[in-house]
Amino acid sequence: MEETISTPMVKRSFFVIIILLVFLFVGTNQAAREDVLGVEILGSGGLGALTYESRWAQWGCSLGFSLAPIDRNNGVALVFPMHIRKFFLEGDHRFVLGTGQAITITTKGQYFLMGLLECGWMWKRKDSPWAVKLAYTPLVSYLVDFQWQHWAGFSCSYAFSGDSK
Amino acid sequence: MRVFFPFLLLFLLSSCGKSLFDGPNTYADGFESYTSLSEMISDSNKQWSFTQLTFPGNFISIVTDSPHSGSQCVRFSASPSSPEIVSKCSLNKHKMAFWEGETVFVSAWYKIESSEVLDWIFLMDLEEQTAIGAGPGMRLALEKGRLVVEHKYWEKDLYQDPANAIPFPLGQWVHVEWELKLSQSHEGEVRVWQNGALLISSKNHRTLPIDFLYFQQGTKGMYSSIEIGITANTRHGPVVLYVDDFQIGVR
Repeated sequence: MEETISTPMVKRSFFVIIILLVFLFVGTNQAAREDVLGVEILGSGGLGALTYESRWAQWGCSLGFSLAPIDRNNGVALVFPMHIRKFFLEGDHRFVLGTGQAITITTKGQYFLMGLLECGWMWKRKDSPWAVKLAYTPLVSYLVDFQWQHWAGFSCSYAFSGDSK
Repeated sequence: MRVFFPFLLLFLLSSCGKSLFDGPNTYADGFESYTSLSEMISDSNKQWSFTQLTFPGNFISIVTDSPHSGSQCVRFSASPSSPEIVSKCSLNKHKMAFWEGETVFVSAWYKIESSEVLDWIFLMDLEEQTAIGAGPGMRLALEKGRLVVEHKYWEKDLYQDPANAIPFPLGQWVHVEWELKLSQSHEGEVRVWQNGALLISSKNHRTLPIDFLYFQQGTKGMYSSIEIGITANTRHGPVVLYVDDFQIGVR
């Protein structure tokens, strides 16, 4: 198979992914942390995704899972979108900005990385574990060519207690 | 945290350079210098890169009976496709480079021997090898006996004007010419000639694939391979195809 991604770019992108994973699982110990499970329709997962997010103070890190069937010869793409995001404003309505990476691995062994951006609005009542979010979530190709795909998504999530308050 | 974000963004938005994917943009073959199929395939990519023969009965051979010019031509013989397997009998040349903005020109002589209706027989493919996806590109095909331009990505196929459509003649040499101005936006152009007659002409057309969510990733604004022969056969019946005097280049 013809090589389509250069090794230096792959190394650079995995460095970015490692940084995001560190924030996901380390977070900060300065404030109460929440574990949040969510379902996304469209959005950074493509057609949709299941997500886990770790939220603390005004920050959040998430890891998602999605599928994209291609065809019989090329299999199914397993997609793992990862984000780091910041929440602005206090109260029930919040403004969200985020960035991240989506790792794609197909069942035939092909792989790729895509950049993710997020700009949206989240509604969450202070004492409720439920939240809904509407966001502009473009997919940004950058490894071999720069392409910006306009996209958006809606998500609904539920926050479980974190291990520190 | 604030320090990290500009660097993350820089990493995220930088591109690796398309020079890594460069290659030749011309090739011509009159098939005169070969004595066997194996001589046509070259590891160094100086000739054809590989063949695709998906049925045991499909074969490619050098023949001397009635070439278009010179003393030899290539003969492709393909069984009909089945519901599970597409019947392919083709020659491929990869690691070429046709970039956005260039006008690609392909010329070849084809002779088809078949007693069946020529319906969805694919004769020539221009493709890109993407990281994720099904090798998107554009293809020349015969549909109900007439040349059409079909896309292996989400774009409308191009047909002849029904009022003036010209069927593809059987049992005789036919000059097929295909010109593409490459564009990932709707600034491309497509023209197809058959024996010098302009059959299809389209402007403001997307002639290169683009990324589409996670179904198609890593398109580069180029085509990197050409495939000729019976690149996919119909289910209706076997097909024998002769090809001679192939050339591809940029204007």
